[in-house]
Amino acid sequence: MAWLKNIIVTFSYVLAGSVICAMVFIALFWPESEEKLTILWEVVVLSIFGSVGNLIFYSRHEMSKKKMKVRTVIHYIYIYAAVLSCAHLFGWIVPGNIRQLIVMIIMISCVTLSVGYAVKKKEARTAELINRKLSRMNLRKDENEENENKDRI
Amino acid sequence: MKIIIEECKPGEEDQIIIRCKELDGHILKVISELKMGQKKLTGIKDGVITMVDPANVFYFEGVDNKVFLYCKQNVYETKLKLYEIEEEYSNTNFFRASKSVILNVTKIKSVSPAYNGRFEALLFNGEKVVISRQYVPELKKKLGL
Repeated sequence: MAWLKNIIVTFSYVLAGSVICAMVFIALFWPESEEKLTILWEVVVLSIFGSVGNLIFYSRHEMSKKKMKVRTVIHYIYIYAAVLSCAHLFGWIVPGNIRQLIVMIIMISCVTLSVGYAVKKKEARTAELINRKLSRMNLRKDENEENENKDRI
Repeated sequence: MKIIIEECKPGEEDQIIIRCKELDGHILKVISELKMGQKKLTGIKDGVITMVDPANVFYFEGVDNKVFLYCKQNVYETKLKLYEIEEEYSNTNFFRASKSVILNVTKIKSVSPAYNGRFEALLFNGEKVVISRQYVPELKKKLGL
């Protein structure tokens, strides 16, 4: 169930980023609009599409670094395609409006980078926690070995 | 460390309860020794069968339907399957690090985040072993985190 947990965590990150981006985008291009509750559901749908993309990384077999890199590229393409399709479908961008399209692409990049950064930070914290525990464990092991040697003497 | 021995009631199964503040290296070693006892592994190298103490094994790796055990300097082949090793050495210092590797937690010097949720374990013999994303919780559990 690790994959499901991963998707839920990513969903929460993407949802938070998408809400902020939607607010900025509405303020920039639709300042007069009085959005109804539907926008929130649209953001939720968008976040679901964004997070299920993580399934691209799952495989029954161990993947090489090269395969992982290929899947990362596919993942990025998927994210941009999914978000732009949703934006078009929900009428967030007017077809032919290049400015809106560029801002949307910038926002997708910002959310993607932020999520990537948050995940990296989380991994670094986990590694730090494990290393702290390992060094405590190894220190204790050394002390025990030292004591055992003393006992032998 | 205080050792208390209590007699159990007739018909009751013998049990060992360990009460500790945290699951550190010393406790892990005690558990491992209890679990592994005097059990030895048989390793084959250049046609010679050698008895290997599981405590000296850094990791087991499955390559092309063969399983190898890696010690500080030597590599031996074992006739055991990875899933048998996993079963046999559950609740010891060994844990599944990836689909093809079972790693000894006491031989890890440090870990660092690698590509896409994976971690890379630096071992005391200088080797690096990948820990897959789905097995990181198992390592954390082994360390009592």
